[in-house]
Amino acid sequence: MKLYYWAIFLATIVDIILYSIFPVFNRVEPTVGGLPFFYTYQIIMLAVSTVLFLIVALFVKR
Amino acid sequence: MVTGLNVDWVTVTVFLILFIVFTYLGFYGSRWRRGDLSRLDEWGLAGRRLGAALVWFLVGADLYTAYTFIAVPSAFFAKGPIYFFAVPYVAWTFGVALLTMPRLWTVAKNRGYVTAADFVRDRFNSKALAIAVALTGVVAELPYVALQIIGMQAVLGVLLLGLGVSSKIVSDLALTLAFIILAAFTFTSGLRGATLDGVFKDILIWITVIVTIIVALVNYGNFAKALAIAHTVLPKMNYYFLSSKLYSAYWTLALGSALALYLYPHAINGSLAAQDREKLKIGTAFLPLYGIGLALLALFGLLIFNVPAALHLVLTTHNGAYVVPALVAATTPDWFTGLAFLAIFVGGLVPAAIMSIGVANLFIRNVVGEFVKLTPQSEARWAKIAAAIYKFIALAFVFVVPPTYAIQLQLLGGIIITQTLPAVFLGLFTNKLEKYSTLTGWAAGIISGVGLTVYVNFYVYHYTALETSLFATPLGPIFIALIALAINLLIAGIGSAIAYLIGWRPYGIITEKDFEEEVKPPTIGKQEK
Repeated sequence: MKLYYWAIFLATIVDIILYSIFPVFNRVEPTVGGLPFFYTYQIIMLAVSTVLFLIVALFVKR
Repeated sequence: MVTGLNVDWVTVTVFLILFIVFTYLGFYGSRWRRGDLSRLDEWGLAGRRLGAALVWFLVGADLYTAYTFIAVPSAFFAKGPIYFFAVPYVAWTFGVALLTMPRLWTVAKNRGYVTAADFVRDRFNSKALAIAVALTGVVAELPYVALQIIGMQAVLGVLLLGLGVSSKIVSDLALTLAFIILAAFTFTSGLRGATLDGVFKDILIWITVIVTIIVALVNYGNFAKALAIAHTVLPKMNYYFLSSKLYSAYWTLALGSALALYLYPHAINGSLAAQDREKLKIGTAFLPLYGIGLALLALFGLLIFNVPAALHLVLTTHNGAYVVPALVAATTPDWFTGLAFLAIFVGGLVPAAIMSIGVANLFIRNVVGEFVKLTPQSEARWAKIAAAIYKFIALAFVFVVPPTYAIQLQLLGGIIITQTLPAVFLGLFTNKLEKYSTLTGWAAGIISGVGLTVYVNFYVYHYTALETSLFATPLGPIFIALIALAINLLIAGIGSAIAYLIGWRPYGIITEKDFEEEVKPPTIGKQEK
């Protein structure tokens, strides 16, 4: 289980970084259905967070 | 009568029929996966038997509340992109949950804990710290329950406006009746009833979000149009992107909220109800997906600009809480509006049930139980009564004080609950924190957090109410919960170091093994009977 906690800690830090790189996502273009990238990026990252967390939850058993 | 809202008696009928289904499921819970409901963990943790899917549904129903569905779009509409911080918040909070809850679950299972304060008591060998953690949960949760009721009032408000009835008495009566039913089935079914209703709520909420957003986009135009109209209606607002001056506010609000959520009794209660650690991990890992629903709902605050009838209602009533119900009622048929309104309405009731269960467990076990010796049966009986009373205290609170007070107290609630982080979260990973230092840190965190909030609002900005939880620093505005937490951690850390130097040594009743592997004792439950 020790390894799991390190892995999920790392995954959480990666997730925090994904939402901290404001210059990358705090912009209008490209838009989807007129929706600025600021919103679409962060919504897509919810799916990415799920995948990131699932990988750790499913595969890091020790 | 407000024009342009598809609200009529069909809406009310659908709403009532679905409410009857909700009530039935709530009571049926007592027979679902039948257990001895006179035991606290059977009543309050549904016998710790929820699989990964049910963890997802229960915790999802529990954390994504009516208040979030009403308040986030409302705040987004009024203040713009800063309130999209709810999105990183819900992504990060499940990382925090995956880091802490499997460890808490395991130690709770091994040692028979029902609450976080049970764990704190043994870990720190301190009744005082356990009582402090329990009371913080009880106090911080009350405005949270109150806000559920305010979310539900927004739905009833639009429903009654659409029918041409403008009466606070009707709304209050409906809420009181709903709470009597809720209290009755929470009393009889406990977390089982809340779980079944949680699944019901989640399904209806997802139908509501997806259908409404598609209908609004197809029939009323896309976001580009909404942004253009927003610019003419509210020229001062910028919905296109976040002002770089607000980066620190956005980031610290998300982080502080993410750290706080799983310290609330209802979140911990939902996690401890999992059947095993792996199922808890998988169910939790899927929860950021639920946040997509929340993000789309927040965007209702933008789409409303395309829908004149809904926008008109919000602007004329000056009630941002009407954003989601008004948009739904203006864009979807009458029967669907009934379904959607019920979804948000029970979206408040399900968390209210779980919050009251979590608080009751804490209050009876960790506060009353420290002073009065309770048998397991009397403990469960008193918790059921406490859960019912707590709901009505919250209801009375909403009826007596203006809604803005509940919102202000919720803001303070988030700051004070964060101060239990060293005892609960750090306690899971280290036994090097000394009890008096941790208790002093907790007190300093609460005093500095509340003090700073009052100072900023009343002395710096001269507001007449608590409106902001941000403190202006040279780095930009920072969420006060994090500043108070830093003070708290500093005191707990330095105090523990000093204690260690003068001969204090960690208390070792809980071993590392208690956190790591589930020890399966030969069916203790049956032997007790």
